[in-house]
Amino acid sequence: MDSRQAREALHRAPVLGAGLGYRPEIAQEILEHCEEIQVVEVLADRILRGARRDWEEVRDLARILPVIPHGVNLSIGSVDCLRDTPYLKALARLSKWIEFPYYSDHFALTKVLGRDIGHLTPVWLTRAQLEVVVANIRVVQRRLQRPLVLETITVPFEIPGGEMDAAEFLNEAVRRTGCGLLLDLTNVFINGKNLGFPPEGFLKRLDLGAVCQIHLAGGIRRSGVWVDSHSAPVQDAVWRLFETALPRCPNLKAVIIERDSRFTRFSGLLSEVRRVRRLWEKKKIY
Amino acid sequence: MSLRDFQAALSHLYLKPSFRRRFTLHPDRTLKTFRLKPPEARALKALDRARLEAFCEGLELKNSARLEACFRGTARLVKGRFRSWYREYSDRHSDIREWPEKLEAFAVLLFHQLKREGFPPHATELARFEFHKAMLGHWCGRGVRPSLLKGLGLRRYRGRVAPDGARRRRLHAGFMAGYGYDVLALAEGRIRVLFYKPTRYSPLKAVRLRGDGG
Repeated sequence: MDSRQAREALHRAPVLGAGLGYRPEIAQEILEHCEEIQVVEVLADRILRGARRDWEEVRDLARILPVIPHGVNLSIGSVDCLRDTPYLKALARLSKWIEFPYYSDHFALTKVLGRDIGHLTPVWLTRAQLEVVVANIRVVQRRLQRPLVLETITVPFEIPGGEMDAAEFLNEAVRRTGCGLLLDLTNVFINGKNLGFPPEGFLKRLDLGAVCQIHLAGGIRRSGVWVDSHSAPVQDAVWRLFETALPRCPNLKAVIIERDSRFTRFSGLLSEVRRVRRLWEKKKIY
Repeated sequence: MSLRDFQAALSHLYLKPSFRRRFTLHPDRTLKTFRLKPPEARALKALDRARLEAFCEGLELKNSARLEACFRGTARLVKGRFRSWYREYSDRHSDIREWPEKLEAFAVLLFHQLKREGFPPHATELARFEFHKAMLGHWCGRGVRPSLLKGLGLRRYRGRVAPDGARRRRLHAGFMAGYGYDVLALAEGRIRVLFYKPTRYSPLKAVRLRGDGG
């Protein structure tokens, strides 16, 4: 799949709607409310690492609801991203196993020269690094025969000496590869708070036409630092960012509410999905 | 080549506490081992040290928590030592890429430290049991047939797979394919085990069993 085909595939992809991140803790509730939840995002790495029953579970799920796989271990910024052929092979197998419009992962480094860092870390924003990212995206898209969608991450610190800002970097990667963007508005909000810049400025510079998915989650403030903990309801400031960004994302396909812990009240998550649907319908985009 | 070295230096900073300490004291000398261009070396030296340190601490906590989850009973027994042993492990073995090689390397260090620091023998026994349990969990979780577990020096015991038979006969906490379990408490070498029976879409139904530690 070349950049033109990837761009067209993303353009043609159906609008999936609002949904939730699929986690075992809330699997039953998701299935019970599948009329209200329009799409689910599954953790690709959990399936790839899992047994046959995990593969079967996701295939069964895909028969009930549209499924988008979302990974964390592609490490698209690594110079040796493509050395991890078993991982790419497993991803290619997954793309044959179930039907999905695109594959998403993070704009980050998670593995470097054989070392698993164990967390999403920032990419150095230079021309040389851009060439590496572009080459990696092209190979992944060709391998999976699906467009790749890159998610903005929370950045604990910036690597000095960059030749462009993150928005410019991502815009250039999108222009050259036809990949899409997954705009995590909570991460944008947290980066703004921790690094001291207005999130709206980042949204203005980013090519929102390439955004095909949005993530919303709740973060927490720990020792004066905001953390993307996925453990709380979505903050009001993030909802405001969502309302600002929504009309400017004409190619939006899905909005996912992410939660990784504190699932005590599923009704809270469901009301957040309803709120997304209400806002989206109000903007009359789909 | 240079970006490769830049990323390698970054990963050393993230994962190796001793490298970070050397870098703070003598940045030029520490970075000499990498073939960095001047702008790359400048970028690393200009990193916000306080933020980097806070990030690395969080990362260490997260990575050690994954191992602690495998050695829950042992970690409870050795308390604060677990974290410092993890630090030692990450200094020595940060180049190990995949699970379960990480688990194996850490287990070797753990057994050694338990013996060296004079913990009672049942602590090492518990650590060994937890190690086997985690390895089995890994391989069976990936759908590997129990017969393939021979390579790990393990064999089936009364329909269940148990860590090397005779010495652990009294340990009722054998691994059953499709089940996960969790050591809840350790007192005088007695282990209480909780089995989770996964249903089709939810793993929340629990069946409680009890067993004695070897």
